[in-house]
Amino acid sequence: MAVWMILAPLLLAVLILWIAPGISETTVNFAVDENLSSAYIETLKEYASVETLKDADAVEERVMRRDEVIGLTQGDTGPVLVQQGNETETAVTMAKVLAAMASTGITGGEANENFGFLSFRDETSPLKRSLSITMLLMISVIMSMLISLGLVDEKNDQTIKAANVTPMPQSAYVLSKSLIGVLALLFTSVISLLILGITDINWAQILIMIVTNALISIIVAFVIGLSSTDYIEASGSVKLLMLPMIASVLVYELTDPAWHITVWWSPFYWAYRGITEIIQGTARWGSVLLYAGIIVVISAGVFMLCLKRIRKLLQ
Amino acid sequence: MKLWNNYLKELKIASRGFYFYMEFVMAAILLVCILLFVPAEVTNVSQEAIYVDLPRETLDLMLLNSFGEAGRYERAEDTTVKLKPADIVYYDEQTGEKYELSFDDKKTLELETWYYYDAATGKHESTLYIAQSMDDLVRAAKAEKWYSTVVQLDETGQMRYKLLLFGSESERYKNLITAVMDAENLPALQQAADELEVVTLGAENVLNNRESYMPLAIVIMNGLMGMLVVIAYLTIDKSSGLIRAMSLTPMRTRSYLLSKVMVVLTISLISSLVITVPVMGAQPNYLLFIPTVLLVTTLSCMLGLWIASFFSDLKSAFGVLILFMVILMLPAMSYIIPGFAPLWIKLMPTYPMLQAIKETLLPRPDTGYVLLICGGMLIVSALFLWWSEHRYKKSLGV
Repeated sequence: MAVWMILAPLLLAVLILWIAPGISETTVNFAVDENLSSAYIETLKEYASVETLKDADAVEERVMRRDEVIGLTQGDTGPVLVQQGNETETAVTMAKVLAAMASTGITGGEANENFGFLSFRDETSPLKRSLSITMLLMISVIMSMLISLGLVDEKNDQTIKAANVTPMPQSAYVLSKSLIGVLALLFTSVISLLILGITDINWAQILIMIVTNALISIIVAFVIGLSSTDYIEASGSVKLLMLPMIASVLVYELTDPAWHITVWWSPFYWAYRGITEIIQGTARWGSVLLYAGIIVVISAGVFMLCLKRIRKLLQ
Repeated sequence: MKLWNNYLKELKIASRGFYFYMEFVMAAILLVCILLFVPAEVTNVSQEAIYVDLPRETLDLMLLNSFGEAGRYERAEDTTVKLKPADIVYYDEQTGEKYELSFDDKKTLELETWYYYDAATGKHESTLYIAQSMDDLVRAAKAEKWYSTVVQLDETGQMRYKLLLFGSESERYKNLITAVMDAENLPALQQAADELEVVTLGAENVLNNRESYMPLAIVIMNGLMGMLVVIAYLTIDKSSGLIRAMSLTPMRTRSYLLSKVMVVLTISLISSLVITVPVMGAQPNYLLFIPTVLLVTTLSCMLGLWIASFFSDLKSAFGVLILFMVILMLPAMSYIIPGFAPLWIKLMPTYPMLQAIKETLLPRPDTGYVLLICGGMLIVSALFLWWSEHRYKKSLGV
């Protein structure tokens, strides 16, 4: 089980690497009547995914299918844009611009003396960055599941009771269990970042964020693992940990910064924010240490609250 | 009848556990998050920043010339942007020149802000921020993720435009920008776009922004969890010796597996309704919605049972199940970005699951499509149940 749980994020990293460019390249999907001129169709093909069909009826049939495809047919006075009615506004606007370009024969190309580009040359797309950071946070949740399921097993096998009668102090037992989780987390996170090609970063900063983010997951994993009587309770409780993680990511990405205060209590928010800045290359040591410090303080608070319960459950 | 009695017994046992209620609590938390953080109407306003190294009158004239006829620009309240210390590097893509900037202090910008309203619809379509210097523009663009433009005069007095990109834009996208941004092309493109005849085949039949997240919540949070939960229930029974005890009773493997699945279906249906009813109200066709939710969870459970049947120890199956769950979540990307729907995504079971649930929530659902998907899920579930039954007969000994 442990091997699969470590492998799962790595395979996820490969999947992100595979699908992210496809999503970034996505503009509009066209179903085009082949009666339109070949120059018109060729211009569209430069910028969009184009499916050529034999007549207007075939285009209409294709547009009415479930996925988002916009049609272009030959009308009496010129091309006609055919839509189903449930397309996104962005897709329709983009389709109109592309159809206008095809009609006028205006195509882009090399930048000229009047127009050019400046660039930050940050090749990680916002989508890939967001998916990669969410994956790093998810790894910590999966690792906490690994720890808590292991503890349920040990509890059921009476290993914890057996450990209590050995000279090993409870703190050593807790540390040994946590260390496996932290090492697995570091290994999986680093390999995932390498797979994703996110290598031009400050590794010391990112490792600090990953380890501090692991703290809260490990503490919660201990409480869940020790208080759960079976696998279902443990895996269900870990699902509960997913909620603040997803909420933190969504609030950070989708809402106005004024709303971020609503998730300040969540260590995942600070981890997401810190890792985002590190990957963007805008993080300074001061802010990384501040975010890590906030996570440590929140984790310490949770630990103090749970300490009595952990001690009792370890008996 | 035997199956029903068995289900009731299993439900009673499950309701004694903490997990049974936790699912409902989680559904309630998710509901609160959806209601608080996901707006019903999304404001699709693009944001751009500009630095114009020209006299003020020229800028005013540019705003009027570029957009005066097509729409209307209105001055809004200045926008405050708080900038942190940062080291920023950017390049001129034509000359390859590298610019390195280092800002050690925090800075608060008050950016002059203009709203652009479309002439035809009157909708607020974009917001333009005007920076007072190139440094401010670069810092604000990097911090706020705004596309930005620099306008300068060259030695001959001609205006030159430079668009500041982030670097992840594809060549296709850059070509598109050069075509659209070229001032000479703009009037012709605008005219061609305005003259394009548009035909709409279907009536407007869409979910609002908040409602559109419901299929994701139902399929991913409730449906797919069924895979894990049903195996967790089997694991408990196996480790407690209950399965061995049951092998002495006349109960069949199929009844045993189905009774477990039915408990998961109950939890999933209640959780789904807890989220759906407050958000959607009376709009969905619940006669279609309820069987679809049940079949989505049934198929997930059957897939879970089938995958776990390949492991001698059920606990070992957990890692693989998590991996499968993650892979099955991928069609969510296609659901969020409808233009991205490659064939391999459409072939995954979660794609039709999401589409079918979405259809049941629409004001005018395509009943034929929903029934077709439900029929498909029923047949595939039966197939996996039959297959799993054969495998578990040996491994569980029921």
